Amino acid sequence: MGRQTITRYADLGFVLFIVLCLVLSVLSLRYHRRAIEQETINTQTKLAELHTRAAVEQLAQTISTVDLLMRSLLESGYAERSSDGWKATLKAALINSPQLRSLSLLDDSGRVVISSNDDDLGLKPATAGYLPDVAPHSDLLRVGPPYHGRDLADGQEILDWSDVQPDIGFVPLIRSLSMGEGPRLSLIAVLNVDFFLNRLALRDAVPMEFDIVRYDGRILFSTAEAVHTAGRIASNREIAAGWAAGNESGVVPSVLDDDSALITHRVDTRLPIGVIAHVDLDAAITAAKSESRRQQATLLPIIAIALIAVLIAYLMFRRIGERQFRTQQIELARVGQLLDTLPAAVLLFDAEGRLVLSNRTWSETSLGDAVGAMRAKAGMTIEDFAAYLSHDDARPDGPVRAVLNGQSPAFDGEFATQSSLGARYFQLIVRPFAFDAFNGVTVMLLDVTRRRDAEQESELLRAAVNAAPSGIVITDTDAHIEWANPAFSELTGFAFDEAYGRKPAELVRSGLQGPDFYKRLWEAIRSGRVWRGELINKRKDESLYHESLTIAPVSDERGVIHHFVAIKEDISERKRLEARLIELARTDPLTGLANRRAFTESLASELDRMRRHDHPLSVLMLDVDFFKRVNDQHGHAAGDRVLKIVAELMRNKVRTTDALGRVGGEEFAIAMVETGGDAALELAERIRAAVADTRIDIGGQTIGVTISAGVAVAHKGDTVDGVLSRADTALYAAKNAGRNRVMRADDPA
Amino acid sequence: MIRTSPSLAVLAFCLMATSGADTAQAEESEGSRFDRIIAGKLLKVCIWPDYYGISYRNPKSGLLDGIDIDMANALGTDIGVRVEFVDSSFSRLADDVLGGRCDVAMFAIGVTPGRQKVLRFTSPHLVSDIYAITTRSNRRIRDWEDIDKPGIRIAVAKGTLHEPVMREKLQQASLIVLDTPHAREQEVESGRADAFMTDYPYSRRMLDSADWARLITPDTAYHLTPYAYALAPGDDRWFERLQDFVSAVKADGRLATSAERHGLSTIVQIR
Repeated sequence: MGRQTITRYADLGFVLFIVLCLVLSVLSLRYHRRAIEQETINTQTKLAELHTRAAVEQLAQTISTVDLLMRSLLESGYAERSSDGWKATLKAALINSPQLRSLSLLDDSGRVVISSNDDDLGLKPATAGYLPDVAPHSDLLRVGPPYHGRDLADGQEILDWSDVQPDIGFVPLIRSLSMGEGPRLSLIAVLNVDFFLNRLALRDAVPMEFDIVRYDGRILFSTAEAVHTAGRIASNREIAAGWAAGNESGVVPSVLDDDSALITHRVDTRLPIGVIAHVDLDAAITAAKSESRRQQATLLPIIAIALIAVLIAYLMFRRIGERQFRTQQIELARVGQLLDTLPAAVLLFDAEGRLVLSNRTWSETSLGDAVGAMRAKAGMTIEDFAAYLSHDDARPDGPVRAVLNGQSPAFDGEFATQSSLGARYFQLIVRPFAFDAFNGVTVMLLDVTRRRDAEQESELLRAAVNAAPSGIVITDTDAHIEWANPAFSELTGFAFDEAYGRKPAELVRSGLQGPDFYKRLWEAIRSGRVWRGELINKRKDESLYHESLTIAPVSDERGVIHHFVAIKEDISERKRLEARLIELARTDPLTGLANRRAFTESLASELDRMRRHDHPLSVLMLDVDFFKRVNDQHGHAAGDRVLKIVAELMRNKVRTTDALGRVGGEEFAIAMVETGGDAALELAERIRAAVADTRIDIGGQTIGVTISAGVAVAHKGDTVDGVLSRADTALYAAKNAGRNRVMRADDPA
Repeated sequence: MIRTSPSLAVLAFCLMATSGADTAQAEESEGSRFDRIIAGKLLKVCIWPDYYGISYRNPKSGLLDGIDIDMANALGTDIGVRVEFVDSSFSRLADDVLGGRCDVAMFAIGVTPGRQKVLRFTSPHLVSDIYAITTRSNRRIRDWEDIDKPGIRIAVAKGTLHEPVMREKLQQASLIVLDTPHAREQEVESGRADAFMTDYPYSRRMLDSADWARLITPDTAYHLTPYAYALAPGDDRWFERLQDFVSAVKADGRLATSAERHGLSTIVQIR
């Protein structure tokens, strides 16, 4: 899911949230308003009921007090009281009785005979229409009809409340007392309705009008200031009828008005008087409504402000979030660019283990190729990635997850994968990666296939070098030994530990090579050339040996030499064999003298010397006389023995500087340096004589041999063949002259 | 104040010495009441203990309270004597003062011509108009002009300044004169009378204490009556001393402070 989509969903969700808040606010406000209204109605109704009850109780209590007063007045003053006494008593009774306007005594005929109010005297008030409707002289308190006026004197019965609204009124109460046969006395009390109206006026917590109604439904007085409607009068009568039927109190909806008006009523338990309260809840409901409107007026802006604040906060958070996201994207892009330059493949997984970033190297690695399909799939996971790697059948997803979850601080390991190009090896470097709010894990993949190959190769080389018979030494540019193979130790007797850090010169130099030798060596290798040569070195045990040495300088790409590799081979044996072969090639095996080729070479070099130094050189040719005869008569072994003895005699007669050689079967030659012809003849004669005098023992018998010799003196223009040829000619001349003699060749003209 | 009283006495004596011969003769025969007060160290003050805000005995505590209780105590302090309150009323006022039951009557006595004939008044310290108290439910009297209508019965207490004033003012309504202030309340509450006339302090009391009471105020000044302290005529020294006292409490703020404490600031006479 893209960032845009998430943002869109978040926006939509937030809008829904705001709308939901608004709807809930409106609903709760509406509910609250209705609750307030209902609560107000309930409270007002309850209050109205309480007021009604209290009004009835006050009314009943007051009238009961009046009843008690009247009864006690009648009983106490029944017979004996004088007229003046009665009046004073009645007046006194009015003190502290503000509920009464006047008290009057009626005689048997119903005429006022004594009164607290003089104006009432002589009046004969109507006594009909009182409740309870019992005999006029019953001793029950009877309640009269309502009157308009201050007192009996000016009172007029109110017959129709829809017609008149008295500005002052009263209700007469009559109580009679008959004692035995005596005349009946009655007291008429004029009840001050204002007394009640004053008190009812205080009950203004609820807008209500009290109608004080007699049991027969007649209104006695009312707090209403307007004239009563016919409907209200009828309603009162209906309720009063209900009283008679047993519904002595209750709350009924007003039939007159809308539903905001109701009636609470209650009739006293003993007196025929009740209270019908017409409650107008309009004002209360209006007040409740205005209260709820006021609350709404307060709450709605608060809600609006709160929602706006929430909206602003949301937008700010969104903006900050987007900015952070952008910054993160930019940073990630930068990191990505940076990562692209790395030779290692880098993967970045988020906290859920999904790939969020990979670098170019990843795309280009063979593993990247293998996971190519996966890469195309959005949201490659650690497991997807790990499926392509293994190490001894273990997959790296576990360790990577462990790093991601913080269970391990880091992970390094080597894993292999099979690609079309064969097995590839990767080093995995796994590290936690925290970046702002981002928490994830980086996986770095280094393709170590080549390194592994190189290592293997290197291993092989090392084995080969270690197994090589030649000593191999690696030194730095100052010839300090850094490495040497076992063959070196074998060759020199120095263990690697002894040799390490030291110079070969300190170890094996024999001193048999001169400084020039080494100077040339260093010149060669310092200039980057490979130096090859042979030299004689010294072992640890001081013995000398021949060494074939190759030193190759190793330089870096700039041509700076950083190491030298020396390959040392012990060539002592070869040297020895070489010397022996050379000797074999130049020597006559029978006599140990130089053979013809060696002799001619010596002669050639002596000829050169003679020419350079201009001193004489003579050549002597000798041949054993009748040697064939010896061979034939005594066998080849005897012949060989003769030749050996003759060679030995000759060797004893010549100087070490003279060259002696066997140049034919029984033919010998001597090159005598710095020797002239005479001296040569003399030497030849001494040799001939020595041979001739020698007896040779052959298988039990002795024989004697002789030799013939020819002498030639070399001159500057001579060649080897030339001088030998002349000597040979002289020899043959000696042979021809009878053998056992010496002849001198003629010097060339 | 106590310290200054001897010098004031000397001053009063000098004044007396230069005053008219007849008063001088009267004082010579009886001596000034002031001297007797000083000598007896007792000042007797007549009060009407039902006068709310003026001299009211709180029925719950029995303690006296009111502006003139404060003033009487201040007077006692000024002249250095103890104050004793003597219960009186408007109807007994003249008898009590002239009969010597008290040295001075201090309960906001309206200065009326009738009273001035028998009593001597200090400079007024309060001035009140006349107010009507009716019941809440009275439908006949709603405004001041409803008072003087046919069939209306107005109650006044006997001996109060309202009796003569209303007798003179009422043309159509009938006037009931009752013996006690309390009786007029009864008459009004019982409906035998429609309203009773009273002054500012008493009207406060009615409104504060009776739920049924309703105040009717005149639209314009109806009959302003100054209130002062009453003493027996003659005795200039005592009168002057009282006058000095009245001037002093007006000047030094004691009167204003007390008036404010008793809700009478609107009718106090500082000048």
